[in-house]
Amino acid sequence: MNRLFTKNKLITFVSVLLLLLLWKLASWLMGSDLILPSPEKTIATTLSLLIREEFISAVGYTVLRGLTGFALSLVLAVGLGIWAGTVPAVHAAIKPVLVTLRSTPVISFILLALIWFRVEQVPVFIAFLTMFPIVCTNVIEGIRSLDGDLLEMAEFFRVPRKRIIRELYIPGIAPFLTSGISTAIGFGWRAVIIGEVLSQPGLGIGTQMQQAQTYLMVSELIAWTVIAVLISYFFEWLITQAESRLIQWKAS
Amino acid sequence: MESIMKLGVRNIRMSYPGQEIFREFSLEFRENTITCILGPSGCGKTTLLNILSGNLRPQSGERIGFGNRKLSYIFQEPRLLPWKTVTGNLLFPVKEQIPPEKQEAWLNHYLDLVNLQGKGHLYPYQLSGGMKQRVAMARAFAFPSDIILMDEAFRGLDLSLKMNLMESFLRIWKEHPRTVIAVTHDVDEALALGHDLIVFSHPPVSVVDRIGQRKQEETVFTGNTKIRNRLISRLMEAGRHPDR
Repeated sequence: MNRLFTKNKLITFVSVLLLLLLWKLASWLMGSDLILPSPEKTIATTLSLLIREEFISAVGYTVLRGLTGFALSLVLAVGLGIWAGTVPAVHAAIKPVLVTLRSTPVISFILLALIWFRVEQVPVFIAFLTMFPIVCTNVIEGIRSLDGDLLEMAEFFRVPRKRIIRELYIPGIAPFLTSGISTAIGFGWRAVIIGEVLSQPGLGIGTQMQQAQTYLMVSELIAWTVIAVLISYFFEWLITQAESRLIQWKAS
Repeated sequence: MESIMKLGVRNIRMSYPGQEIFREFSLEFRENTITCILGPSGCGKTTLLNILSGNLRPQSGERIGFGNRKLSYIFQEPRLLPWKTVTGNLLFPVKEQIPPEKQEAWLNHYLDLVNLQGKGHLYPYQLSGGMKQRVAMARAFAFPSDIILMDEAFRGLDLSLKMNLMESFLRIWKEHPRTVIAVTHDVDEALALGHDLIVFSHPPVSVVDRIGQRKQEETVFTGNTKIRNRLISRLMEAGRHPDR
């Protein structure tokens, strides 16, 4: 098994290497940094971004907007999800809302938000709207998949309601919640950046990207993209860590 | 005898659409005794347990002596919370019942009784089926109940495991005796566990046989052929049904 593991790692490594080679080849064929800069140029630009004055605040603001939207959607989704999961009428009522929210193009939300809200609020609102239906749907699904026999056991033994929610409902939906969060964060992160590109708040990754594009600084545009991807990876990793801690009771 | 009933049901009536389960049905249980109720499947044994536990209200009639007592349960499945350890599962129903400083010694005592000493930190997925059912048994006894209700608790287990679990059950019961009402359709299980054996008919339920005051030690695992044959023939009669 260990050998297979290292073998797969090797394959991943080779694949990344090939991709970089392909990129190098393409940029060489284009022959212009204005259209497609070479990988090494892009890496150099990325590194130069890191020491730029506005780097920390641009990244910080974007992350802050994403996290604010995420926190709002998490609180509302868990609350509403538990309610809808336990009361069928509530589920029937919010189901069309969730379906509509999930299938509306992000760009529609952004265009409307630009009319309704101030520039600073647009990305937060977008992050909230993209993440909320995903998390909420997963919470509802988690509640519905709870083992009825376990609930019956808890009720027969007259376990207090508060403890049933804390010790039965919450851990029962935890796997659904973490998988919902990990999907939602992926969508939400991209939505925040699109929101920033279009609403142009003072500082933010999206704002920087839009400016780089305006001045045809393609290497900078790709460099910001690399940074956005790395941050997304970091959050993905964070969730995996939380997940393995939360769900250690499952057979590995 | 009817007039001084301490524990049981009196004149209960219960019917589902298209089927009458109980019609003016009365039954008394002896306290600190293991009563096994036998009967063909679908004869309302589980319905009776649900009425006794107060989770199902009969359409008329009353249950006597159950209202102010604490009940615990052993189900057919272990019904352990998969995200809690063995200790966490034992603690789940009793947290409010036992003072916190006593809990550890309390739980260890019951773990010893079901031969799970040192296994308190394991999660259910790390236990075998028999071990899980022993945890469920310990949970029912560790809960400071007056009465234990059992619904086919040993069903679907292979013979040696079943024997093993029943031995555990009797050992723990001798240490902490209380009223047990067990529902089963397994004659050998009833013979091994029960002091009082009751055979139910098809609905509307009547008691077709009652064997009381048995001393368990005489018959546990040695098998009393006479009683066994009597029970089987009663069950056969009870199982005979117009539409079969």
